[in-house]
Amino acid sequence: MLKIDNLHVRVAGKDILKGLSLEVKSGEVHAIMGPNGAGKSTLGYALAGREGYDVTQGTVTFNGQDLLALAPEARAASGVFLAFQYPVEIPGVNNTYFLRAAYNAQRKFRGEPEFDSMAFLKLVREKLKVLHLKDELLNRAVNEGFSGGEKKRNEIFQMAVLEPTLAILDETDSGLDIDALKLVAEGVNRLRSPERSFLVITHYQRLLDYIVPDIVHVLSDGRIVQSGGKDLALKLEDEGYAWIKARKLAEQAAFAS
Amino acid sequence: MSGLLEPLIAAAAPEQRIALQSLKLPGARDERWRYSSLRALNQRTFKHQPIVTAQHPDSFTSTTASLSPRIVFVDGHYDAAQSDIAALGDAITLNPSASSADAPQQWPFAIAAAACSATLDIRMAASTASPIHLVSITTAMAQDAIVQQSLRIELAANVEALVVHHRLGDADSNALANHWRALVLADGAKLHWLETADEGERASIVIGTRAVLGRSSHLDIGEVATGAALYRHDIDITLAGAHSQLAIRGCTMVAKRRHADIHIDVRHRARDTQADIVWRGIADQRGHSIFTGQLTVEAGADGADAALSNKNLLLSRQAEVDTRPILEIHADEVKAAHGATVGRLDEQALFYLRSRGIDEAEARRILQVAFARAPLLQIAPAELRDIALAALARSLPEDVT
Ligand SMILES: Nc1ncnc2c1ncn2[C@@H]1O[C@H](COP(=O)(O)OP(=O)(O)OP(=O)(O)O)[C@@H](O)[C@H]1O
Ligand SMILES: [Mg+2]
Repeated sequence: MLKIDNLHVRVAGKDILKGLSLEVKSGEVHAIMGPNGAGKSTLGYALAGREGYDVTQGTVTFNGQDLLALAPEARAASGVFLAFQYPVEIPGVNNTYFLRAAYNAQRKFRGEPEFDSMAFLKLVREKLKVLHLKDELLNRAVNEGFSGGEKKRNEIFQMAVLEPTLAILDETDSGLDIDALKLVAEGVNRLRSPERSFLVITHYQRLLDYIVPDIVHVLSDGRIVQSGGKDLALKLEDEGYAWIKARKLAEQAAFAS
Repeated sequence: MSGLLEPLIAAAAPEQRIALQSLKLPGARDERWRYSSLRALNQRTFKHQPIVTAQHPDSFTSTTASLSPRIVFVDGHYDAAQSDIAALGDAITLNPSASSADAPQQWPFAIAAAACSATLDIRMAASTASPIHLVSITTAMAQDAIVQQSLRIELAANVEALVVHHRLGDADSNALANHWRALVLADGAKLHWLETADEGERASIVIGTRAVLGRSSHLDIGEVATGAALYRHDIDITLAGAHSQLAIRGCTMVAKRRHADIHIDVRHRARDTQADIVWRGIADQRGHSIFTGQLTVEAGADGADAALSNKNLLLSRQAEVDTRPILEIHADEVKAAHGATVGRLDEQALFYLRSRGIDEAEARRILQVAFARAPLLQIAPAELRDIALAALARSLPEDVT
């Protein structure tokens, strides 16, 4: 489904991703952990197509097509969804209006008929129930004045409505209370299917108790430095990233001698 | 004499014309007209003869007929046949050319308009619930000509009225439309005024709106300005009566080569008066949006509350925004706030919308509408608000970027 090969990304003249490779198969959940500033969000932005995140080397193939050649909106329509680490407030734009515009834009792009406001509202109500999101949030401006947790839940709500095939969740768990964390995990687990994959960026092992990953990667200094099963997250929780650094140094020393 | 003055006063009565020849149109060094050069108009050749009212083209008939009650002007002249105020009964009286609306000395365009066209005197003696539509049509007959219109509207004490002024013109009209209107609000009167337009890029429009507010009266002005080859609207308000209140809510949207110059002058003359102005502007492509807002609190106008906010979006390299908020205070215990900003479209918001599948042009349109409509949402009468929002939507065709 997603194949990232030797990806180099430069932001504001600085190389952030330095040869990242990763393959996610249909139906898989991959967790990405790593220290602050490692380049996790940069990876999310680069996959979603944000301007200023220049790919200087490498390729990204998504369902057989060159993802990097597509505009952000085309990536979304082909099934890529990024839940932002810091969701953006958009004053004056109604949340429901925005979501319907997005939903219909994607359908139009794929040559499917658009939903009228009645049909869309019905869909939205169903999804709302699952996430236990307050109705009132729908009638406010996008993320404006939302609490930190409400913003994160709004991201997952959007994901539930748009039903992407690849969802990248960038620290969706940070800032959530325990109950909200469970709801968000439930929202994600409901969407898990053999056709849908997830890249879950997180700092906390706890989320992975609810969203059980197939593979855990450690991203450090712009590269994947370690991959493993779920226990890798547990080990990181116990020992921190110093353990990986120490091991890397040992490897380098062995290589040099 | 500048090239424009002669045709501008051509329609005045011969005995007036002599005096009018000493009128001075704003020149290149006139600070108040700095961003609205009359050079192009001075160099044009306008028809000298006054326009005889003709049957206006069918394109406006249906629009006009859908508006009721209505007072219709065609090429500057009051058109009784097309007007329909039957529903208003005794609440309103119309007096063509009853009095000349005394135009201020420093407004040569207003003086010319008052001299060249019969002033329509509108008196409102009772409140009306639904909006009264003033429709000003510039027809194809006015090509290469100047149309002038002069109005005086007076609200008796405690009368409340809603007025929408629709300016309609052919998309390719190159006429110069010169509108002058004096608004008089007696004590306790309330006037809600909305100014909207559908004019082409080649048109030139000069408007002078002047209002004097009596004790405890309220004036609300809303406007959606879409600009023209030259668009200048002077709004001059005197808060003459204690506790009188002014609220202005407007937006300017200029693209292509359109120009819009909004010039607001408010004087707090009495105690405890309030003025609150919120205007937003968007300039795209080669558009030029100008906003000047001057609030003056005169000596003795203690307890005045003056607020002015002008925010702008500059969307292209060739577009221009000029904003000048001015505050002058000569009284005590005054509350005053003013601010102006010029910014760009929020790139983060743009990416957020696109990352959800909305294409770039549509995402830009959504953000622009959200920005521009904020003041319009504060227009209190729902009927006027809806008309303003519809006008805004029309001003932003999907291919704006
Ligand atoms: N616009 C930018 N200008 C300059 N530097 C940037 C920019 N965006 C990202 N960076 C830098 O790139 C590096 C990686 O940032 P990124 O946000 O991807 O880290 P992260 O792994 O998501 O960290 P965190 O765990 O704190 O969210 C950081 O050093 C950051 O300062
Ligand atoms: Mg991050």
